[in-house]
Amino acid sequence: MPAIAVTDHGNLHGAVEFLREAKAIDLKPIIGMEAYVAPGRRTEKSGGGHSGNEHNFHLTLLAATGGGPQPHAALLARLP
Amino acid sequence: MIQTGVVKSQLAGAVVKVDFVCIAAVFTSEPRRGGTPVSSTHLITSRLTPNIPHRDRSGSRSEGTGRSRVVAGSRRPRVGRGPLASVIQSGILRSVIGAGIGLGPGLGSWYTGRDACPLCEIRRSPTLTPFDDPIRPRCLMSSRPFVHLHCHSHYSLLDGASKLPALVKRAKALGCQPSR
Repeated sequence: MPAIAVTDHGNLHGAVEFLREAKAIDLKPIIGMEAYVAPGRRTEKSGGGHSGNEHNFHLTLLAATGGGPQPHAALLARLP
Repeated sequence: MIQTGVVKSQLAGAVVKVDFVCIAAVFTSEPRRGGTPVSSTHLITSRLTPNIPHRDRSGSRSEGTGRSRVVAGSRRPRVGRGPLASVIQSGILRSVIGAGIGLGPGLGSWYTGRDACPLCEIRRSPTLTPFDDPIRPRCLMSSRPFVHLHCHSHYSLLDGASKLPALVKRAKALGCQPSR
Protein backbone atom coordinates (compact mmCIF):
# COMPACT_ATOMS: atom_id res chain seq x y z
CA MET A 1 0.00 0.00 0.00
CA PRO A 2 1.40 3.37 -0.89
CA ALA A 3 2.13 5.68 1.97
CA ILE A 4 3.60 9.05 2.78
CA ALA A 5 4.59 10.72 5.99
CA VAL A 6 4.30 14.37 6.87
CA THR A 7 6.74 15.49 9.54
CA ASP A 8 6.33 19.16 10.15
CA HIS A 9 8.71 21.10 12.32
CA GLY A 10 7.55 20.91 15.88
CA ASN A 11 3.82 20.87 15.34
CA LEU A 12 0.91 18.68 14.32
CA HIS A 13 -1.18 21.41 12.76
CA GLY A 14 -1.54 19.59 9.46
CA ALA A 15 -2.32 16.16 10.86
CA VAL A 16 -6.08 16.23 10.55
CA GLU A 17 -6.05 17.76 7.09
CA PHE A 18 -3.37 15.29 6.01
CA LEU A 19 -5.37 12.35 7.32
CA ARG A 20 -8.49 13.46 5.51
CA GLU A 21 -6.80 14.19 2.20
CA ALA A 22 -4.77 10.98 2.14
CA LYS A 23 -7.66 8.71 3.02
CA ALA A 24 -9.78 10.34 0.35
CA ILE A 25 -7.46 9.06 -2.37
CA ASP A 26 -6.52 5.74 -0.73
CA LEU A 27 -3.06 6.73 0.39
CA LYS A 28 -1.77 5.61 3.77
CA PRO A 29 -1.01 8.63 5.92
CA ILE A 30 1.82 8.44 8.44
CA ILE A 31 1.58 11.22 10.96
CA GLY A 32 4.94 12.44 12.06
CA MET A 33 6.69 15.32 13.66
CA GLU A 34 10.18 16.66 13.50
CA ALA A 35 11.06 17.25 17.10
CA TYR A 36 14.04 19.05 18.55
CA VAL A 37 16.26 17.51 21.15
CA ALA A 38 18.36 19.87 23.20
CA PRO A 39 21.01 18.75 25.72
CA GLY A 40 20.26 21.45 28.23
CA ARG A 41 17.77 24.19 27.78
CA ARG A 42 16.06 24.47 24.43
CA THR A 43 17.26 28.02 24.06
CA GLU A 44 20.91 27.01 24.23
CA LYS A 45 22.47 27.22 20.81
CA SER A 46 26.00 26.29 21.85
CA GLY A 47 27.15 23.04 23.39
CA GLY A 48 25.72 21.69 26.59
CA GLY A 49 24.77 18.49 28.37
CA HIS A 50 27.07 16.29 30.43
CA SER A 51 30.19 16.71 28.35
CA GLY A 52 29.45 20.28 27.46
CA ASN A 53 29.89 19.47 23.80
CA GLU A 54 26.50 17.99 23.04
CA HIS A 55 24.45 19.94 20.56
CA ASN A 56 20.80 20.10 19.84
CA PHE A 57 19.54 18.02 16.94
CA HIS A 58 16.38 17.14 15.08
CA LEU A 59 14.53 13.93 15.78
CA THR A 60 11.96 12.65 13.32
CA LEU A 61 9.12 10.88 15.07
CA LEU A 62 6.65 8.72 13.16
CA ALA A 63 3.39 7.39 14.51
CA ALA A 64 3.37 3.61 14.19
CA THR A 65 -0.12 2.94 15.51
CA GLY A 66 -3.40 4.76 15.81
CA GLY A 67 -2.39 5.94 19.24
CA GLY A 68 0.88 7.30 17.95
CA PRO A 69 0.00 10.93 17.46
CA GLN A 70 -1.05 11.31 21.07
CA PRO A 71 2.46 10.98 22.53
CA HIS A 72 3.57 13.51 19.94
CA ALA A 73 0.91 15.88 21.13
CA ALA A 74 1.80 15.16 24.74
CA LEU A 75 5.42 16.01 24.04
CA LEU A 76 4.36 19.22 22.38
CA ALA A 77 2.12 20.12 25.30
CA ARG A 78 5.02 19.75 27.73
CA LEU A 79 7.18 22.26 25.93
CA PRO A 80 8.05 25.08 28.31
CA MET B 1 27.47 10.68 -18.79
CA ILE B 2 25.55 7.53 -19.50
CA GLN B 3 22.78 7.96 -21.94
CA THR B 4 20.87 5.64 -24.10
CA GLY B 5 19.56 5.81 -27.55
CA VAL B 6 19.06 3.69 -30.57
CA VAL B 7 21.52 4.57 -33.26
CA LYS B 8 21.27 3.25 -36.73
CA SER B 9 24.62 2.06 -37.90
CA GLN B 10 25.64 1.38 -41.43
CA LEU B 11 26.88 -2.18 -41.71
CA ALA B 12 27.80 -3.64 -45.07
CA GLY B 13 25.37 -1.46 -46.91
CA ALA B 14 22.43 -2.39 -44.77
CA VAL B 15 20.97 -0.35 -41.96
CA VAL B 16 21.28 -2.28 -38.74
CA LYS B 17 19.59 -1.15 -35.58
CA VAL B 18 21.93 -1.43 -32.62
CA ASP B 19 21.27 -0.51 -29.04
CA PHE B 20 23.85 1.82 -27.61
CA VAL B 21 23.76 2.45 -23.93
CA CYS B 22 26.83 4.49 -23.23
CA ILE B 23 27.90 7.33 -25.40
CA ALA B 24 30.43 9.68 -23.97
CA ALA B 25 32.97 12.13 -25.19
CA VAL B 26 36.41 11.98 -23.64
CA PHE B 27 38.76 14.88 -23.97
CA THR B 28 42.41 14.60 -23.15
CA SER B 29 45.32 16.84 -23.77
CA GLU B 30 47.97 14.35 -22.78
CA PRO B 31 49.87 12.24 -25.27
CA ARG B 32 49.31 8.56 -25.01
CA ARG B 33 52.17 6.38 -23.86
CA GLY B 34 54.55 5.91 -26.72
CA GLY B 35 54.51 9.48 -27.82
CA THR B 36 51.57 9.35 -30.18
CA PRO B 37 49.33 12.33 -29.51
CA VAL B 38 45.75 11.55 -28.85
CA SER B 39 43.19 13.37 -30.86
CA SER B 40 41.18 15.86 -28.92
CA THR B 41 37.94 13.99 -29.07
CA HIS B 42 37.22 10.34 -28.72
CA LEU B 43 33.71 9.09 -29.02
CA ILE B 44 33.20 6.08 -26.85
CA THR B 45 30.27 3.95 -27.72
CA SER B 46 29.59 1.13 -25.36
CA ARG B 47 27.47 -1.48 -26.96
CA LEU B 48 25.70 -4.06 -24.86
CA THR B 49 24.32 -6.03 -27.76
CA PRO B 50 26.87 -8.82 -27.93
CA ASN B 51 28.56 -10.29 -30.95
CA ILE B 52 27.31 -7.86 -33.53
CA PRO B 53 30.15 -6.20 -35.38
CA HIS B 54 29.78 -2.52 -36.05
CA ARG B 55 31.75 0.30 -37.53
CA ASP B 56 33.00 3.27 -35.65
CA ARG B 57 33.30 6.68 -37.18
CA SER B 58 36.60 6.01 -38.83
CA GLY B 59 35.12 3.04 -40.65
CA SER B 60 37.19 0.36 -38.98
CA ARG B 61 35.33 -2.75 -38.05
CA SER B 62 35.45 -4.27 -34.61
CA GLU B 63 33.89 -7.31 -33.05
CA GLY B 64 31.43 -6.79 -30.27
CA THR B 65 32.52 -7.79 -26.82
CA GLY B 66 29.41 -6.81 -24.98
CA ARG B 67 31.17 -3.86 -23.36
CA SER B 68 32.89 -0.75 -24.41
CA ARG B 69 35.81 -1.20 -26.70
CA VAL B 70 37.72 1.72 -25.33
CA VAL B 71 37.14 1.32 -21.65
CA ALA B 72 36.58 -2.38 -21.35
CA GLY B 73 34.96 -3.43 -18.12
CA SER B 74 34.84 0.08 -16.77
CA ARG B 75 31.49 1.54 -15.96
CA ARG B 76 32.57 5.14 -16.03
CA PRO B 77 34.54 6.36 -19.00
CA ARG B 78 37.73 8.15 -18.17
CA VAL B 79 37.71 11.88 -18.54
CA GLY B 80 41.03 13.51 -19.15
CA ARG B 81 42.64 15.92 -16.75
CA GLY B 82 42.88 18.62 -19.36
CA PRO B 83 41.42 22.07 -18.97
CA LEU B 84 38.26 21.01 -20.69
CA ALA B 85 37.64 18.11 -18.35
CA SER B 86 35.46 19.98 -15.94
CA VAL B 87 33.49 21.48 -18.77
CA ILE B 88 32.92 18.05 -20.18
CA GLN B 89 31.33 16.97 -16.93
CA SER B 90 28.41 19.21 -17.67
CA GLY B 91 25.68 17.50 -19.57
CA ILE B 92 24.95 20.47 -21.76
CA LEU B 93 28.21 20.33 -23.60
CA ARG B 94 28.01 16.58 -23.97
CA SER B 95 24.66 16.83 -25.60
CA VAL B 96 25.96 19.54 -27.87
CA ILE B 97 28.86 17.30 -28.78
CA GLY B 98 26.52 14.43 -29.41
CA ALA B 99 24.34 16.53 -31.64
CA GLY B 100 27.30 18.08 -33.39
CA ILE B 101 28.87 14.77 -34.25
CA GLY B 102 25.65 13.88 -35.92
CA LEU B 103 25.02 10.32 -34.86
CA GLY B 104 21.43 10.63 -35.85
CA PRO B 105 18.17 11.55 -34.26
CA GLY B 106 18.60 8.95 -31.54
CA LEU B 107 20.91 11.19 -29.58
CA GLY B 108 18.46 14.04 -29.54
CA SER B 109 15.69 11.88 -28.17
CA TRP B 110 17.29 10.21 -25.20
CA TYR B 111 14.83 9.11 -22.60
CA THR B 112 11.81 9.78 -24.60
CA GLY B 113 9.02 7.37 -25.16
CA ARG B 114 9.49 4.03 -23.45
CA ASP B 115 12.96 4.92 -22.23
CA ALA B 116 11.66 7.64 -19.97
CA CYS B 117 11.13 6.68 -16.38
CA PRO B 118 7.37 6.25 -16.08
CA LEU B 119 7.27 7.14 -12.42
CA CYS B 120 9.63 9.93 -11.62
CA GLU B 121 9.47 11.50 -15.09
CA ILE B 122 13.18 12.12 -15.10
CA ARG B 123 14.40 12.01 -18.64
CA ARG B 124 18.08 12.45 -17.90
CA SER B 125 19.28 11.47 -14.49
CA PRO B 126 22.59 10.50 -12.92
CA THR B 127 20.77 7.79 -11.02
CA LEU B 128 19.99 5.86 -14.15
CA THR B 129 21.52 2.44 -14.24
CA PRO B 130 21.30 1.20 -17.80
CA PHE B 131 23.69 -1.65 -17.00
CA ASP B 132 21.04 -3.30 -14.91
CA ASP B 133 18.74 -3.64 -17.85
CA PRO B 134 20.24 -2.49 -21.14
CA ILE B 135 17.08 -3.03 -23.10
CA ARG B 136 14.90 -0.94 -20.86
CA PRO B 137 16.98 1.22 -18.55
CA ARG B 138 15.25 2.43 -15.45
CA CYS B 139 16.22 4.75 -12.72
CA LEU B 140 16.61 3.58 -9.16
CA MET B 141 13.49 5.34 -8.03
CA SER B 142 11.24 3.28 -10.24
CA SER B 143 12.86 -0.06 -9.53
CA ARG B 144 12.82 0.17 -5.75
CA PRO B 145 9.58 1.12 -4.10
CA PHE B 146 9.94 3.34 -1.11
CA VAL B 147 7.97 5.74 1.06
CA HIS B 148 8.95 9.28 1.86
CA LEU B 149 9.06 9.51 5.64
CA HIS B 150 10.22 13.07 6.05
CA CYS B 151 8.02 15.56 4.25
CA HIS B 152 7.30 19.10 5.26
CA SER B 153 4.08 20.90 4.53
CA HIS B 154 3.47 24.60 4.75
CA TYR B 155 2.94 24.14 8.46
CA SER B 156 6.72 23.88 8.73
CA LEU B 157 7.46 27.55 8.73
CA LEU B 158 10.45 28.61 6.67
CA ASP B 159 11.01 25.03 5.55
CA GLY B 160 8.02 23.81 3.59
CA ALA B 161 5.68 25.27 1.02
CA SER B 162 3.62 22.26 -0.03
CA LYS B 163 -0.04 22.37 0.67
CA LEU B 164 -1.27 19.03 1.92
CA PRO B 165 -3.87 18.20 -0.78
CA ALA B 166 -1.33 18.88 -3.52
CA LEU B 167 1.39 16.96 -1.67
CA VAL B 168 -0.79 13.91 -1.20
CA LYS B 169 -2.00 13.92 -4.79
CA ARG B 170 1.55 14.26 -6.08
CA ALA B 171 2.72 11.35 -3.94
CA LYS B 172 -0.09 9.26 -5.31
CA ALA B 173 0.75 10.18 -8.89
CA LEU B 174 4.48 9.50 -8.57
CA GLY B 175 5.48 6.02 -7.74
CA CYS B 176 3.15 5.40 -4.91
CA GLN B 177 1.01 3.00 -6.82
CA PRO B 178 -0.60 -0.12 -5.43
CA SER B 179 0.94 -3.56 -5.88
CA ARG B 180 4.31 -2.52 -7.12
